[in-house]
Amino acid sequence: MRGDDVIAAAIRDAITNHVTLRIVGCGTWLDAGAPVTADAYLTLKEDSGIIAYVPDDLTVTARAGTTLRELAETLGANDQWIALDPEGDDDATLGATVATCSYGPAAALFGTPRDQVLGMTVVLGTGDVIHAGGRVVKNVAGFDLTRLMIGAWGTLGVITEITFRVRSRAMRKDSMAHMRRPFPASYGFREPIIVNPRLSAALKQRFDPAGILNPGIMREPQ
Amino acid sequence: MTTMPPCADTPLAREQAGLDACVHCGFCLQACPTYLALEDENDSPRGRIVLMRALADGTLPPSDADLREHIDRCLGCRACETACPSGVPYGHLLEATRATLRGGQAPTVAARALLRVFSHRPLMRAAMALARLLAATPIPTLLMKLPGRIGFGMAMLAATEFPLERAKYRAEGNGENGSAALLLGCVMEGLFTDTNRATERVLIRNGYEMVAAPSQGCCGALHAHAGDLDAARRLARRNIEAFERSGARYVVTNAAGCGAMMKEYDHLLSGDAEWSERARAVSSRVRDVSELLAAVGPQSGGVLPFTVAYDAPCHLQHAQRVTTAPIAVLEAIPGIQLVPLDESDQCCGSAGIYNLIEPETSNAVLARKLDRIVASHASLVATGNPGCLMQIGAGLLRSDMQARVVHPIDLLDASYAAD
Amino acid sequence: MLDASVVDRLRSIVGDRYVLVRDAELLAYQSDGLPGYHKRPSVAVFPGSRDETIDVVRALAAVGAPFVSRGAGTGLSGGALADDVVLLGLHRLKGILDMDIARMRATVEPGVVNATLNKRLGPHGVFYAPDPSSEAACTIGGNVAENSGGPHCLKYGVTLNHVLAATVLLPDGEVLELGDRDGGMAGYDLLGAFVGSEGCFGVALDVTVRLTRRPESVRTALADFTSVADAARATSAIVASGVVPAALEFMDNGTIRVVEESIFAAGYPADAAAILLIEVDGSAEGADADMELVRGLCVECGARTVRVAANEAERTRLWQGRKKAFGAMGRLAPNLAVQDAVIPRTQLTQVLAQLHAIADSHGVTVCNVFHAGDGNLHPNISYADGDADQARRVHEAMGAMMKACVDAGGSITGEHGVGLDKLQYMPMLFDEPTLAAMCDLRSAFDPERRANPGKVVPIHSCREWLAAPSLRSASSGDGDAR
Repeated sequence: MRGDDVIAAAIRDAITNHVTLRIVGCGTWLDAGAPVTADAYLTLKEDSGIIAYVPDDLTVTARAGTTLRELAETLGANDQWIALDPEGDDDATLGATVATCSYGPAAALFGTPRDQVLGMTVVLGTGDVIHAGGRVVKNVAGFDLTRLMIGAWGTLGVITEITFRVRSRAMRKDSMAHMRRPFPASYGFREPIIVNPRLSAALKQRFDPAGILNPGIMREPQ
Repeated sequence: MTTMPPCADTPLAREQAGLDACVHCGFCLQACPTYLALEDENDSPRGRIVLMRALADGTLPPSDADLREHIDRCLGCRACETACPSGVPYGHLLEATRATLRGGQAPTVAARALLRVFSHRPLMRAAMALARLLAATPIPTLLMKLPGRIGFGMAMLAATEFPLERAKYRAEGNGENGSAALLLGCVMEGLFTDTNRATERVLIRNGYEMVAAPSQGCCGALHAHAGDLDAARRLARRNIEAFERSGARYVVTNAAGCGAMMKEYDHLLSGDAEWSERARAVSSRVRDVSELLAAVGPQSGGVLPFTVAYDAPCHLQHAQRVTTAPIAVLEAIPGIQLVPLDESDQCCGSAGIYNLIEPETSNAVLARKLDRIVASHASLVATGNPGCLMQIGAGLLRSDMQARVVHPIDLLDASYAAD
Repeated sequence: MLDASVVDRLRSIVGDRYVLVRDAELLAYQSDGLPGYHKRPSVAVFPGSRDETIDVVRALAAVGAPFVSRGAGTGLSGGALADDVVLLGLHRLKGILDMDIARMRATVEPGVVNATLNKRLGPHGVFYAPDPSSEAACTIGGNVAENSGGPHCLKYGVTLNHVLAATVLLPDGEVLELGDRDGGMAGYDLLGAFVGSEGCFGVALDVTVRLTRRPESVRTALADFTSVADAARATSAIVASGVVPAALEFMDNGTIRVVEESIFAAGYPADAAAILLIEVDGSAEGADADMELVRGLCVECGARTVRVAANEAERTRLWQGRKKAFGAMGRLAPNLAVQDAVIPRTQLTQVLAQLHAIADSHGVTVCNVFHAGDGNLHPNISYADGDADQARRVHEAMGAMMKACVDAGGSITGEHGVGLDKLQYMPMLFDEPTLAAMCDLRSAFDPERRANPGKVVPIHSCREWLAAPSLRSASSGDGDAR
């Protein structure tokens, strides 16, 4: 699948035909969440590539199927990175990293994808294509759909394009040492657990009313 | 909102430029003691300016009860002025608003009577003589714990006593730093006579020549704060004449409120063709005693082993913007340990005759000040204004606290006496 | 107008003194920090505790009354005001409930003033990093509502990056715990959505913020330039160099002059076309080395002088001038239009030139003071109230400036929020499906849209509004600037 229109059409078809979808990047983390029983896969791996990168702006925009490796190679040419080092190999996609809000040890200094993502394009479970946030480093225009989608495990919409804040690797390490936070210490992700049932259900109802996206991945708390 | 002022020729209308300077940023809120105590923006500088604008443009009539209440409740401490990036002349706006509201009448009968006494020299002297007689008896100390204003008034009188021993000494100096005439002041000369004499002694010792200005009187500050600008102008003219005649290079005050008023005689009389130039000349010569001393040193004296906290009088810190000179005076005294006082730039609730008009708010503001003094562990609180000395002093006495108040100049004088 | 029995109920909850109903008393609550907007609430109510706040919101929910939350009223988007609503003042909730230095977090009530929290944290060697210029007056609750920034957000991040958890009172009266004080993450990021929701999602009853250790060393420099373009080039050079300044602030000549006339005069050279205030921090050697690099870049780009503050007093003075710059604009005219656009940092030189051209062609004067390191511009235009023609030109110039920033790939607000002031620009930035999705997000928290009605998203973007003709006729519009 490539392009927002194609993905939106696929989702609208799924709604019409009552087909549930499992959203997949490159498929390396298939068992990370609860078992998903979906009728079909919606794979984003082919929808990859850097869309916009101006090194001196310290931002980069890429399609969700781009791998961490591919992005690291492009940014590395300018001694830059996105300050994310989630567990596993670099063949994971940006979309999966952000949808699960996965992070590694760098989060103790820089935070998780929640702190690194500036904006994104999402195809909602309604088939609508939205452009949340923006491509600048500071932005409070409108309600924060970006934060809502980060770590939502693809249950509200399919992330297709992401803009990240970029950092220089040449940054003096001691200049950030005092900013180290006591958590998180190592690898992790946003747990797919239903925490506020009433609000969570209201959101699901509005963003994926047909319930076709990643059914069952958000677990009831134990 | 209406745009046509219903009456262009009010004291407030003449301050329109000052009203226009406010852009509503709110940086003044946390500087305002009444906002912190009462938690309503109508009791903040920004809220009061909104009310003033409504009065100026006719949205609210002068008779509006809410308008009057919130304007009356302002301490006039002007702490908002040193928080304001736009330079809103809040003190002038307040006085002009009060003048516009009641045509120069103070808000209560008692306040009006008191102001009349201040502007009438023989009455003032008689009243102060009575107060001094009373202060010399044990009565104030006996009655100072009574609830209400009687007890508080007695505690204020009891607080005028200098807390330390001080030997007599003769001040000598060469007068090389110029001549100075002291504004004796109503309360200072009436109840703090010793502080006035101490002021003369320390100035002489630091090279100033003291000259008299015999026909001087009340500075008019209390009248201006209450909105009685006509009375304030009358008193100002009398003092301008008196100090011109003295020929002194400096007009020196040891009461922050009086000093602030005299430094603003030029603004007070700016609309008076005959007097404005003379007012400007005299205002430019006015100095707080701490300014004159800091400018030349001051000389150090004998050791005084006390822990001292400095509380800045609002009319010194915010109106006159004199902040470091009193510290320089205290630092010149060997043996003194200066300790920081949190919120030392905040009002104590005295504010001229405010504690008479708004006792409840005044007490709320004072309570916060006393808490900070306890936390400072100081045994002496130094402050250079009679109202603050009596307000804080009374608060300390009534709550059985060990600390006492003292004028910084009395401390320096005691240090010289111990030399 | 609210029913008298509801007003009585509010009085019984918070006490008579803290319920305002008369016209004169409500005047002060018609505006926030942006003086051009006036909206009249029907009642103002100031609860003094968490329980009182819950009771007040439940009383309003019972009768379906809309309300607007307000902290210190220092916001710059006309966000804390509306006609005929209950104004819910949260400034009395000022308890610092917990300071857990070992776990680097503090829990505060929404009315705690930003600078007050930092004053209390100071002795422990830690601080709460977001530092809006109004820090001396603004509240943490307001900061959370607006996702406030500040000069030091360049390095330290905005409010969103520093809030761990919040107890939130939904408009229907339900109390929820969002986020996790221990830093855990689970479920939808409702806290992330709540931060910056401009009072439309509910009321924060308490907020747990992350604390940061004070850097060992701080160096602050003032670089002055004889051309705006040189200063902009220096900014781009610093950002691109790999140094992460703690702050990188820009002030143009108009701003320098009003600051230098104020009591916060900071010693900025009055003849400079622009100055940069640059701060670096970290270890002592690191900060010195970074500052040397920054100094070199400034000189290379044409700085006339680069002066590093010699001590803490000098540093404070340099910062005071910057922080009070916005308030000092009252020296020019009683009204101020404040903008808050963000642009990609490489576009700085070009966009600044465009803004000046727009100001010239509209016959208005623009003063620039902004967070250059983030590309977060604050073009300010001072104007007088009475002059209708000037007000129109200011309004048109602002619209053109916003468009220039959006066209450059930017945003219409970086830290002030949309409120009423930027509502009209939202369709410039977001397409209809995105605006509709924002409405949906709001509706999950507040299906009746009683919390801060008429803000952030133009109502005609909402599915409910499109679906119900009755709502359209009853709607009072999207808010109008006066």
